Amino acid sequence: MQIFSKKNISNYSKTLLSILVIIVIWSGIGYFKIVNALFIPKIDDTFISAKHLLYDKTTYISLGFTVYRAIAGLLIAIAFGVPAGLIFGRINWIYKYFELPIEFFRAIPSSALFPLFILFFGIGNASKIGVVFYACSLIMLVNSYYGALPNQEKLDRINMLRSFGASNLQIFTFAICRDALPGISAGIRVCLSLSFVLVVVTEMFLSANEGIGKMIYDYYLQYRIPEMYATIIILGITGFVTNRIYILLEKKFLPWSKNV
Amino acid sequence: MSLISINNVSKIFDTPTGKIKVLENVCLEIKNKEIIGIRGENGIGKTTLFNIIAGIENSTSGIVKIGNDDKKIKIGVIFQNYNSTLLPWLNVEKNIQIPLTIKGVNKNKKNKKTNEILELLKFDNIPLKNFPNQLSGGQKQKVAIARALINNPDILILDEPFSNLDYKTSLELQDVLLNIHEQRDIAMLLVSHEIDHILYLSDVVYVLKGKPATFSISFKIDIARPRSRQIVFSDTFIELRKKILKFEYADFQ
Repeated sequence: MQIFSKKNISNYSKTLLSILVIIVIWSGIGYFKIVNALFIPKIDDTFISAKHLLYDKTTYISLGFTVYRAIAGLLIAIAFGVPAGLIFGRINWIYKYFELPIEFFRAIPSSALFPLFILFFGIGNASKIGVVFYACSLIMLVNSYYGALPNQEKLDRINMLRSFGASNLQIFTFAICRDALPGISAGIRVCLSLSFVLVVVTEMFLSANEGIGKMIYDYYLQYRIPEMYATIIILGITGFVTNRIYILLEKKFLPWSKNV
Repeated sequence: MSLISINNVSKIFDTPTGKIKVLENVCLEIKNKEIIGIRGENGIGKTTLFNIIAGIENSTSGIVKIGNDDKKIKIGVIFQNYNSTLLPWLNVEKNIQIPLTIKGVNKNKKNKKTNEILELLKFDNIPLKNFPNQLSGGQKQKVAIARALINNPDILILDEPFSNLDYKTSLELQDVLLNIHEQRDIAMLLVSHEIDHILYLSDVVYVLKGKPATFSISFKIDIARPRSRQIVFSDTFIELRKKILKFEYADFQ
């Protein structure tokens, strides 16, 4: 893949243009005082604040806590949701026993359970990780379940392996798990964004001592609006980069997934 | 020597609308080096019988004997849906090696066997590092053939191997199969509804007929080997073709 191919240069210029448009509009709002600076600060004030934040190690510590909580919750959700979903997908009668509770818990927004998580896990990391785990594990479970459900193509692959004498374990690892990977990967992408959203919200409202959500909320309470905007931008860039890294990994390790 | 023998095999499917008997008292014997063709209209139960022989499905009653007491035989299987039986996450080379991977054969031996089989089949134009979605239909079927043969099977069983291919590719692959048969003395069971293909390749043709289906008749194809494409214009070929079609069309008159 060429980084500077004609197509890529065209895509980069479109991205740059859209960023430029946002900067121009934002600068115009500040220069002409269209909106009160309390709501939308001047772009130069925001960039100065961002520069200060980037030189401040507290920002990185907070970001580290946020990323740690999001990724830890997601990994535990994957470790629980994927095997459970694969088993449910292959052994449907087991799923029938759990279908009702799964659907019931899926209907409860994770935000509604914030108090419950504080009650059980306190105000430390565990409650925030717990919220992420709760929301993401159900998504991972359902995505893995649908990924493992048999269809004609998957049955053809299983039959092929069986005809060559593959054991049930080999069929599970060679075909069933691999066939479910595109669904699992799509689930991870959704959960990656969701985990950041949930961690930031829990850091704002679940009495966190550190984290990007806590920083944003503190700046808001102190009316330090440029700093608040700068922190939001840093958070946005972090989420964007994480998502891009995941897409690159997906392209590298699952290049075939679009053809399944 | 008998490689596969089937005695009084019946198959009943449980469906939401009740039990459906698809096969009844099917008997068949496949001997060493023999090519058996099975014909029958769509939905008659050819693939069910194929699946029973391939070990994918169990018969409801009857005896299916693979090999004999002295020797366990190896079966190479080529499926009708060659497209979906190639694993999309493995490249061509690894797809061909699947039977060896299942047996736990080491990498060097696998590569050696892959080269051997590709040389035998003259499939040197197959891009080994490509993924299945990058291949044409004919190339995919060639990969499926190479995969079925890599384990040196005693018998190759094929379910409608030409049905999804264009005419020219299907002729090319029929000649590939004849070459394999001549070079390796391998037996074959060919399930197909295409009469010319089945006559060109087989020693005996069985016709699956009725509801539930059974073999009521078989046709011996007395055409000498090695065979060339010219035999399709021979009187014997045309006469056999007529006989089989007459038998099959008898119900429609």
